[in-house]
Amino acid sequence: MRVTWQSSFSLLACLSVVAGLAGCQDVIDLTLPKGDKHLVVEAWLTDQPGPQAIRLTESADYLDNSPAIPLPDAEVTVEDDRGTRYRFVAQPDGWYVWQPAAPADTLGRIGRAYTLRIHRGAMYYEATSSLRRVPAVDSITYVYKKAGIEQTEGPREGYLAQFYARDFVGIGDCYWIKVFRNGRLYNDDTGDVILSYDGGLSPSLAVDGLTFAEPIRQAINVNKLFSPKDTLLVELHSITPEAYDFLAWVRTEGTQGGLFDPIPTNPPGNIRSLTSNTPPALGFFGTASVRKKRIVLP
Amino acid sequence: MKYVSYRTNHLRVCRPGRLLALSGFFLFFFGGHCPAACAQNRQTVSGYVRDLANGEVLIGVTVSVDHRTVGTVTNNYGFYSLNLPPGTYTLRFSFVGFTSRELAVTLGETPVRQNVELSAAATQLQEVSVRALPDSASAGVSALWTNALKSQTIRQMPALFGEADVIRSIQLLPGITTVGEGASGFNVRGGNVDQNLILLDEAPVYNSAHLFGFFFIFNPDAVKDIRLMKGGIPVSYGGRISSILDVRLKEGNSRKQSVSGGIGSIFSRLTYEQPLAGGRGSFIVAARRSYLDILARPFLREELSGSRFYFYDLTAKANLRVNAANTLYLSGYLGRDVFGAGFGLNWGNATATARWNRVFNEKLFLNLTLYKTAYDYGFNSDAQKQQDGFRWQSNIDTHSLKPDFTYYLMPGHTLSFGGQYIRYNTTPGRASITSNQDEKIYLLERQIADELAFYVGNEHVVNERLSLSYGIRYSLFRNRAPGSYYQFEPAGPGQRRPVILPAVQQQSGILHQYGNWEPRFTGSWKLLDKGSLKLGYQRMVQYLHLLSNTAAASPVDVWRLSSPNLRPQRSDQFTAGWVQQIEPGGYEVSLEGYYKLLHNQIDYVKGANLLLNPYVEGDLLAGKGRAYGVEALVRKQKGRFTGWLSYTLSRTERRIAGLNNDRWFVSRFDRTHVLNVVTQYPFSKRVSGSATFTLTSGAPVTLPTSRWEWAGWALPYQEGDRRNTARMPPTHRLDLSLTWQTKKAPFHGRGEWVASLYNAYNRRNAFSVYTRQTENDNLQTEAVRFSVIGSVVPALTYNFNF
Repeated sequence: MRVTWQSSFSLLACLSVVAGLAGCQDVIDLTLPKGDKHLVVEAWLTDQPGPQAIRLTESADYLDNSPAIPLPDAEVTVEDDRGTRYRFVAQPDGWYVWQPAAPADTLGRIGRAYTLRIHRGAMYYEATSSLRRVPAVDSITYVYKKAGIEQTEGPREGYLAQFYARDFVGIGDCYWIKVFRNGRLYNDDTGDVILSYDGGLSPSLAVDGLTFAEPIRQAINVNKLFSPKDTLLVELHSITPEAYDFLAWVRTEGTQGGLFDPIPTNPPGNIRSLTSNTPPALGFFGTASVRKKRIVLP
Repeated sequence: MKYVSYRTNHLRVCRPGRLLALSGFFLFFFGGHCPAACAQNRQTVSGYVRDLANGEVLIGVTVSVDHRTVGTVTNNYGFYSLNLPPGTYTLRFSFVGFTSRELAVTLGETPVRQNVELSAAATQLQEVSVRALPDSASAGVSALWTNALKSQTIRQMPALFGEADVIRSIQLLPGITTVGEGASGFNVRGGNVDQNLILLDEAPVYNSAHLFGFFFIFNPDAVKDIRLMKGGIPVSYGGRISSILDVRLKEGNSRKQSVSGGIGSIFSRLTYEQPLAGGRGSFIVAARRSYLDILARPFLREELSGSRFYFYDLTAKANLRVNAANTLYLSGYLGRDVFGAGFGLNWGNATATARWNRVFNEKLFLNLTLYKTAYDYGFNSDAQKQQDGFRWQSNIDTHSLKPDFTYYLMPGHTLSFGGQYIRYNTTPGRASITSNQDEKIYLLERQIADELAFYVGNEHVVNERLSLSYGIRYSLFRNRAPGSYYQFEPAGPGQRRPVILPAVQQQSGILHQYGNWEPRFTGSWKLLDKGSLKLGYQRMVQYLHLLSNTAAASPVDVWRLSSPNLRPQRSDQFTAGWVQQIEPGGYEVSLEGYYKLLHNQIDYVKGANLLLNPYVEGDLLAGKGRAYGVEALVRKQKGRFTGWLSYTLSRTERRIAGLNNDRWFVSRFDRTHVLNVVTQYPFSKRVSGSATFTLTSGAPVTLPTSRWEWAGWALPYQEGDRRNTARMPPTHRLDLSLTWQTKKAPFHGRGEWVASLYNAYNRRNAFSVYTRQTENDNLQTEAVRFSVIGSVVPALTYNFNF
């Protein structure tokens, strides 16, 4: 496990690092009980211009490493709270795509609520999410330095970057921060998911209306420094508290097992089944407004 | 298994009248049937029993009269008292590891004060390691329920990194498990780690681990006596529902100056003892510090050069025998762990205890304890920078006054009565976040509470075959103002309860209170010449809870007091057992079964946020627990080859509404089978060996059945939402040690080398088994075994004293 500031706000990650020094991990063969097949919904709609996509797949046995089976045989629509319906057209790979009439058209609008409806065979599913306000990414600063203890990977010298944004006044603004280095999303580990609650570290530590806290600002480095000439893109997504809980679950429970990891629980999702005797659907329907900042390091 | 339901017994109001009436009842019942005349016809012999070599008082020495089973046993302060008709008697003082002594005593018109000194048995190596049964039934019934370990035994057992450790030794006793190798604390008969009251000279400590659980916080060099009680707990103890670990410090050598110490692979230790006031007292100071950081410093990379990682503890105790009737003790402990590299984390316990032992007369003995104990931890994101950062502190302070009286009422009746007042003061969390020079402080409100307890009990030797011990404790817990508490809206089972704001504020008086009666009973019936049946029932209550939803308890777990939303934990335990001595070979066999019901056990909603969460009580769930099992112990205490074998078959389960589909599930520390073998053997006068073997069923674990893809990750899902349905592989381990006493040692003292081999056949025992995405691909999944100790750990330790 890594000491990234964001993930280790829980501290327990830090403890695990220290305690894990003496430990060792071995990949083992394990026979796990089999589960049912569940519908999996991957839906993350934004206010960015252009097409939007939703993916439907089927769950598999945990240690079955073949690609997820796509489910292109459903009907998928999204409706906003003003009655506008958006039709998503199935592709063979399980993605369902909404194409705007004009290239610059957007599906998501700040302040609206969206309902996802899925009809597959005899089963109906529904999920709702609102699209919340988001502040602009004001700037990204950087300093050239030697790698410290937090930088377990990457160059031994390079840039430590931080982004600046200011949270809105009012409790409950949640954010998901995505970082792209040279066009590639930083996503080596579910533990690298960067979340912020009102610009602070967690709901119980809610700062409000301030510049994002330093651990969040610096979390974009994950566990390595940037190199000269790197292109760095920071995306700030506004998310709902439900999405915050879901992504916090992904962050802590995507990988488990240390001394100081919590007891595993099943994911909190927001896909409701409207038909009885239907196995629950997994996944999450999220909507976000996105603001970005891109810089090229010297 | 059918669940026996119990009516809760929370008395919201303490009625002193009822308590007084009860005390009166006790005194009447136990004192009343003795006519005044019988007291006049009897005379008392009393005194202290000490170790000849260093003046330490000896706890649990059996005092028998004329080789009969009538007698007594020295109390926690080495004091005994016997009430006999006038005449001449032979008193026999016997204690394991010491040469027995017989003394003739003539009782006439006046009470006799007879202090006794015992000398250690010629060969230290024959010392018995576990004492589950006193030498005779006269010791009373309590001793039957106690597992005692001596510092010397612990030192000779093979230890991880060669560091003798109390907790690791205790884990070899029946009924004790741990969530995994290297985890802090221990689990007694299916109880959580916070359900063990760890006392250091009467003062409780809240975190018993150095280095996240690898080492017990007490220096074994300063420890005299360790006793673990999991059943038959006397009424004088209370406050935790699973066990009492009573650690008594050495008093210090009152005969001569002495220095002892050791150099091991983790710690170096030094202890100094000296007589005081011409032998009427003594003191001891013992210190330990880890020195891995000092050794590692030259080898650290530049960016790690600022890292700090060390732990230390300092133990001190002084005693003064003011006169024959009064003895004063002062003892203290200070320990701290510091880890940091960029960030800093530290935690530590501190205790200070003052005790006054007063012998009012030959029959009435008082131990008055005043203690203060504190546990705190702190975290700092970056010690260097001021304009940005995250700092966090949490602490719990306890002050207590505790009078304990022992009244040797008459032969066969030893009354104990007393009480305790504890004041708790906790700051569950204070954090400050500084962001770009804006600072915001989060303060979880300070909680103040007190706990008041009264108890009365009687150790009743009915006849040579039947001994009883019975008593009752009443505890009253009060959340004190100024303070506040939150109310929560109801929520579905297993769901977070939303807070109702604002909080209920109160400036004075009592915010909330809980009162509980805690009856206890034990009996032993000597049915055969060498065999006894024992029975017991106990109720224990606990008002302090450790919030921890991680696999192992961590130093940043928060202790929280009971409140209107957090009801006291309670246990009811029924025990039955048989103890048999087998003369040829000096074997002792005991078999004990227990059934324990646990009430108001804490669990957590999904995604619970336990750290710095003012509304944390809304994230807590409460439910029932049950634990049952059979424990067998065979020990051999005579001959060259000594040791013990313990086997436990047990189950521990929880049932929490909203978890595991409302069905019972086994808890993380459930172990179906546990087998421990501890052996010690002297090869020659100077060389002895010890081996321990442990075999344990695998721990329960929650593993996923399915994977599903979302945003480029393969994520886990468990069909049925069941908890702890899978088992890790069994763990087993062999540890070896060899102790070699040197011919020469510094300053004409004694020296010994202890070589140890921990995990001798190099097994990787799983601490946890879990699943994850592979290192390089978030869409590939694998199962992983995590071992805390993954190889043989050899170690060499040198101990000396002069």
